Amino acid sequence: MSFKCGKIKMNEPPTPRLPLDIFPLIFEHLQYDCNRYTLLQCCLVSKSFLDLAGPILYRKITLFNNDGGGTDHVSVDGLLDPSSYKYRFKDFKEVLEIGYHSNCTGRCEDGKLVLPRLHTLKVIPLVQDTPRGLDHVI
Amino acid sequence: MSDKKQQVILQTSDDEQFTVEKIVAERSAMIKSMMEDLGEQEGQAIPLPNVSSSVLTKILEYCDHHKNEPLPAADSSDADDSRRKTSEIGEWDARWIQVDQEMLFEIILAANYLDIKPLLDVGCKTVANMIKGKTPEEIRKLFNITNDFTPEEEEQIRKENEWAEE
Repeated sequence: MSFKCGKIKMNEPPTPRLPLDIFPLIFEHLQYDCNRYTLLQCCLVSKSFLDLAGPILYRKITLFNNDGGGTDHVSVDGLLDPSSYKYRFKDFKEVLEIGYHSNCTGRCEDGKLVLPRLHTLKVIPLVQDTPRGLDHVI
Repeated sequence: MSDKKQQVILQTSDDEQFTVEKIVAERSAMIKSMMEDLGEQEGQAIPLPNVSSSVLTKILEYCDHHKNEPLPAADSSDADDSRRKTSEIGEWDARWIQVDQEMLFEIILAANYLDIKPLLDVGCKTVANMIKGKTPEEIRKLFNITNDFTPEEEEQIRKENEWAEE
């Protein structure tokens, strides 16, 4: 089709643009290997990128409790429903619904993690294999 | 069975024809399904209006190398975690995909169009590896994307995510 013509124009961008629907497939590979910092950089590229990379960045979050020096942590899958995702990361639900947890200082009621003393929730990226996750400060 | 039956003709966007072993062409779920639709109409070229001959040549190398591997299940999408969980690429694939960025993007586009999932995966993993450690500006440049955030919005996102800025 028009491929040949496109290639010889000197002022054209040197590479074809990838359609947006390809990028989620690329971002999926950044949720593993603890590349969340890169995913965050992707969120800062443009609004479209934020819409695509944001839900993946927040799909899995590890809760991490440093109360009293303990290092209990909880993995949270599907914390954020991509369809409800907004630009504002702070629009998280007040209650974290989790599938599994152990040794946390909260209680489990009807599948919901209850942290009665929770005052502030900080979101910290995973670095390498060290879970730093959500750090709640009382 | 005659040799002819085991081959298929593919016609690219620049009107080049490639005679390809059926088993090689079938790596593309799209071509496989077109072959099934065409049935026994031997000698009829399958048009690939979105793929140029240079890209098809490259992709056929990949398909030929992997022709004896099992095809991914038709419905294997996001659930196929074992394939996706790592950004590691097989040794042969990694060597094969050492191409310039233009060819890499064209391979991804063609793999998407031709529906060759493992190849699309290799391409996406390669791009994922390329953007690791890059700044938003570098990523914009890589993909030719315009920053449409207002300075306020950008600042807001940075502020809400300063936990990652260490």
